[in-house]
Amino acid sequence: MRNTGQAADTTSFENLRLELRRGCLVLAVLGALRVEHYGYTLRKELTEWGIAIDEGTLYPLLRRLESQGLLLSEWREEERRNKRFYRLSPEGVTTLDALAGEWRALTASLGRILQE
Amino acid sequence: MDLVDRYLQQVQRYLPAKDQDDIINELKDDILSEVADQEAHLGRPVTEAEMVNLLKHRGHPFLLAQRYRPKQYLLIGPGMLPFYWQTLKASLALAFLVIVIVTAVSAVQGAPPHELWNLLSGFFNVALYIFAWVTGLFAVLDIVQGRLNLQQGWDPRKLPALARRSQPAPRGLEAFTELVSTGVFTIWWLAVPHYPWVMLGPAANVIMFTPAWHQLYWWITAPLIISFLMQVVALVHPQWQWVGRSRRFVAAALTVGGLLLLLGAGDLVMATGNMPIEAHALAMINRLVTACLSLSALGVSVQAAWEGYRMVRGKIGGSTGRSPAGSETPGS
Repeated sequence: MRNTGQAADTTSFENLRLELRRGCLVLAVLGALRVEHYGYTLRKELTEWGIAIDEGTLYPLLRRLESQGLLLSEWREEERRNKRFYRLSPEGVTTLDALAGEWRALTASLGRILQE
Repeated sequence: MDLVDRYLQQVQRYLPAKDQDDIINELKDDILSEVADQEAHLGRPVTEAEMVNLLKHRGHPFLLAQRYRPKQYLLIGPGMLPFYWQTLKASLALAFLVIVIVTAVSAVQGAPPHELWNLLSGFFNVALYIFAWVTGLFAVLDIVQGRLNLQQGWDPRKLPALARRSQPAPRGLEAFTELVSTGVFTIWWLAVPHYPWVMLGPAANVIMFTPAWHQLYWWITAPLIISFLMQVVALVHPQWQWVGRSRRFVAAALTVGGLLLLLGAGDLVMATGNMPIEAHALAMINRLVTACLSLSALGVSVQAAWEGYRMVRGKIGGSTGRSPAGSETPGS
């Protein structure tokens, strides 16, 4: 019974952790795309920054952000392969600034709450 | 790179048609970039076992493709949607045709106008039922399809071989649509001996099938059941490509045999005795049945020959190493 309880706790924590991360991923991707990247290098860079993201999450997210007008993409040949390069659109730049402001305010508030 | 292409081929099966090439090209580049990174790190080419691990880490093709599904499809995913529309339109068209024919027959028999209107307006009720059943059925299939594929075990080495461009392997969704169509048709056919009106319509009061028809009934039923079973096998074991390639040919060839038996059986309908019918009218109906069967036998023979040719060509051709996304990169 105890093992079952521990497993349930682990699953529950994992779900909460994923939920917490999910909201941050958009901001992380938009922030990283101030510099042009193709999918794989973007994934690597995010991992190096400590935000590991699998391709099954990243590519659908990139498509969604592009359809929302926040990203621009372009197919180009590099290293003898066609790659799709992404960068922030002008609207994406504005949105990123606004979201970054929200983020800073939120982390400041959370910082105060968690210190108490 | 055969494993990568086979993996992507499976992912492609579950993607919305309009985005397939775009998504597959991007995924392919991502996988190849990761492989190149690993090879640079190891100082040697990756082994098959390492490639298998890399693909396993990316997840089952069905699950990966699911991530690309737009959220607005609540009941039926975009991969299944074209087949859903196709089945819905075909079913509605067939129902409309049957109702028009029944109305026309009733008009010839002198039915009053309000009865004809009742028959025609009955289409809206039938259409509602068809919509509900087809939608429900495809919603269930959409869920079952994923589970069925996942239950087959996930090992990249067991992924189906690459399909040739001119001889595609049976796609899961097509196989499902065929299975549904054959299943519905088989149920209908099995109901005919007990409820002749499902085939004869209002004419079932006047005519019925002859003993010769009843004797040959199971010779016609057997190809249907065999065809249905082969479709089930093709769906559950897509890697058994010979079943997928031969199922249409076997079904068509057996159907031709059944139709020829019927053609040689003489008259297939006779008077019920419940209502009077003139002998020359009965003879005309039998001639009409024979003409329809002859035309069907001719059409199905051509289909059997074509399917046989495709089957043989598929066997001789084997599989090629083409990229599932093709050589062109969209958007470039």
